[in-house]
Amino acid sequence: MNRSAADYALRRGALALVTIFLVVSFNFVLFRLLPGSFVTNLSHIPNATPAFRRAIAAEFGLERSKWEQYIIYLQQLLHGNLGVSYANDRPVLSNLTTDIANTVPMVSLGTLAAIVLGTLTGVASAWRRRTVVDHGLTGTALAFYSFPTQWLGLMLILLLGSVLPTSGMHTPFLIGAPWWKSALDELHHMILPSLTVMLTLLGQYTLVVRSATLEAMSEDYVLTARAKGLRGSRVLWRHVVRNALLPVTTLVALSIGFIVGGAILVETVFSWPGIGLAVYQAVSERDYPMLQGAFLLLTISVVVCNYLADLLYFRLDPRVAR
Amino acid sequence: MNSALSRSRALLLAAGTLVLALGLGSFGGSAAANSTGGGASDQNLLLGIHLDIDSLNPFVAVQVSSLAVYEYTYPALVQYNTALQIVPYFATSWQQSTNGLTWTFTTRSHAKWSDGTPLTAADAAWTINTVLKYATGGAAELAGYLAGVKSASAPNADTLVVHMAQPEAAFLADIREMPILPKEVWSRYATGTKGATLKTFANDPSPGHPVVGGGPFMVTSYDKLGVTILERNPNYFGSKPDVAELGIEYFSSPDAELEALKDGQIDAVWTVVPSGANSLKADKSLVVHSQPGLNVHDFIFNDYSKQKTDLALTLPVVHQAFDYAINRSEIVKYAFDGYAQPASSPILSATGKWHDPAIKTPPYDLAKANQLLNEAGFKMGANGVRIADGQPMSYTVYMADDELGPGTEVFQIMKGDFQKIGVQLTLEALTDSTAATYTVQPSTKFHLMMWGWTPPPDPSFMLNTYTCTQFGGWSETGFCNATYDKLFDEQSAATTPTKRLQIVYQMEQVLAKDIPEIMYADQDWIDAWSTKWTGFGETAQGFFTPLTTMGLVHVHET
Repeated sequence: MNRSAADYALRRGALALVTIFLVVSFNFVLFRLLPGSFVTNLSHIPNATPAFRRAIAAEFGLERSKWEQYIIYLQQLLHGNLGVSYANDRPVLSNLTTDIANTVPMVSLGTLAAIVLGTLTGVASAWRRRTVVDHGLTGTALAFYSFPTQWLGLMLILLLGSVLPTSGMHTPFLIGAPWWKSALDELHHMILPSLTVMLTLLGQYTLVVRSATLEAMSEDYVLTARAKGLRGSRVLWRHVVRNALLPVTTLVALSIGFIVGGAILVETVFSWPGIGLAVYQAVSERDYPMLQGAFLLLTISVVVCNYLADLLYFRLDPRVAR
Repeated sequence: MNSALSRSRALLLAAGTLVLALGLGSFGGSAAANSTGGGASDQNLLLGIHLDIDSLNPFVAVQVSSLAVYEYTYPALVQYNTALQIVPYFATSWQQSTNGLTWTFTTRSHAKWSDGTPLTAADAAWTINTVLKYATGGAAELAGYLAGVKSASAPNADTLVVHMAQPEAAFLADIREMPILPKEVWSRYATGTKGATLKTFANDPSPGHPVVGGGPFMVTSYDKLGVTILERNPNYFGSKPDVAELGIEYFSSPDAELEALKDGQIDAVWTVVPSGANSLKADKSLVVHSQPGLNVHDFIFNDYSKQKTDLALTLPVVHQAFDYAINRSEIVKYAFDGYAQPASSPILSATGKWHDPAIKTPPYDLAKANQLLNEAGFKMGANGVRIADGQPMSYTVYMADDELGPGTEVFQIMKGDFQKIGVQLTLEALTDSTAATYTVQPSTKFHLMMWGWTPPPDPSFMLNTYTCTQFGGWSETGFCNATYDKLFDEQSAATTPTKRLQIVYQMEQVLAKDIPEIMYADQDWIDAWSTKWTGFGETAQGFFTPLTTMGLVHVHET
């Protein structure tokens, strides 16, 4: 690595660390801005007596000042401790590990499918610009892009609920089945939520790839390639698409970063027990440690993926360091 | 976690694309058809619920769905039947001493925990004494069920004696909620001065090792946001459940839950909203059951006497006028689609004898409401809004977000009627947590609020919410009446049911007169299930409830 590359990597790395620290503090403040807490949330549950609520507040340090809570939070974080979930008294890291393990396959599948399909449809609509193909593909992509995710999920449930599982990750009572049967069962449950993720992401990939492809198609080297008498498909894949995919790198990196964050709406509609649903629950319950932990992991994931994208960008196009 | 599942995950991503491309055919179907457990005659029932089972540790969980799981997996001394009368469970009989300070229970002989070890009165005594010992620490969650209890002892395997510091009329109703835990399993966590480790024990099952319990079922698999499986407990002392396994599936989307029922992916749904019930009724393959529930909706006045503004709202005459201006029939018909009853008292008719039949629902009478406000001297302003203490009678009504839906429609009906009596209302929605912060008494943060309760069948809880001692606790109205508080203490100490009932009625009369909050609707409890199943024991809190095991033990295929 030459000096400018090392400087670039260091500068970007330092920026990433500062971003993470700021987000850590921001997360702490953000969730405490609204009135109320986990304890006040229990005030309409008859079995959560006032004495119990006081004991809970003492156990989780909620009666301490916000500054004290912040210092304790930072100290624990430096020791790698994300705290204990208020809702089930278990370590946040343990909860999140399970949630992420559930989320990543489902969201990855949908994202990967969206990247592949979106790239193909984007290239096809650019190559056949201003034709029925172009209008059909971009129109469809825009429609899916504009549908509210939860509405799209519910429509898929209405349409396909009689043939595909619409909730959870496994067929109930299928405990102790051979691993391959469990895997197929999980895949079967993954189809509708992954399809929803794919359809919601498809639009942006189609449009970004189409736009980048059109830009590349107007370059002189494409004209030269055509003038040399190269076949259309060779011009497209060797000269246009390869150059058009550069801006798509950022979008892919961002998408990968967000995989860890799950898809809150998709997981909520399909009751998929991943990190998105856990965040939804934690917001409802004011479970601060879970929220802080989930957002910290999401932040690290997005920042790291962006950092890697920056480095990749530098590798693909060294001019960005200037 | 199942190791087969962990191993499988590595293959999922690569195989997934293929699955999507090939459009893998269905190998799902109905919940019963998916069953692999048990023999040919075994049946597996799959319920849909919309509350997560937050923990299998009774010292941690607060969700009613978790408490319902405990009801089915841990014995309690007594339970309710479906008519909400207290009946035997682990205790076969009981007796209260004449001074009300000692309760003696005869418990089941030769009972066993699910792991085959003896289940005796000593386990019950240990549970009670442990909760008392750590009442301000790790056992605070359960300590509320032991109001007035001093200690417990087990002179022999089948006898439990509970010693009271003072008589508690609601003792049986309270102790009913206390799960009896296996001392053998839990005693190692009851340590230290605070008993904090009682809360850190996950109490999760693992393959081949169900959670040790003593109820009709035992937990064999747990997933907080997924499916929890309960299997028939072969060592249960009572009559065994008809189904071999009971699956409880969490749904975060109620709409998706109802679709899953229609599609046959689940067998039954516990708790359906009124609008959902109508959509299910058209489906002939489903049964929709509704009955008056323990679910009351209220219009709260902040009666805290030291408020600085809008003091007119603390006057009983204003409460009375507002009560006359509420059209309960319209509210029931349009906001709740007919799935509610007009309410008149915080002690609901579903509680049976505790509801004072002498208290009638106030008539909808705008003329009377106007008359009362005129007599109070609140003159109508030029813009049709009355003036009280120099201020227009124009108020913000806060609404807790779990009231939204029917509550919004209720507000629109109220708003129209209140305009006709010269009172202007504006709605502002709050999260439940924020609403709770506003209503902690003494409070000056609100004047009017719409919220609700899902109270237990025994009247003590609801009656207690109006006592002065509950400032900072359950009180949301700021109502404080020394006579009422005296009556509350008397009913708590009453040692005969007749005497207690008489005092409870007196207290209801006080509330009907002073109207600290207007109870406008008692929402029905609605459940639904496939016609393939029968035998559900419906209660005022549905078939899956911490009140009784009778909701599901007799469910079987038709």
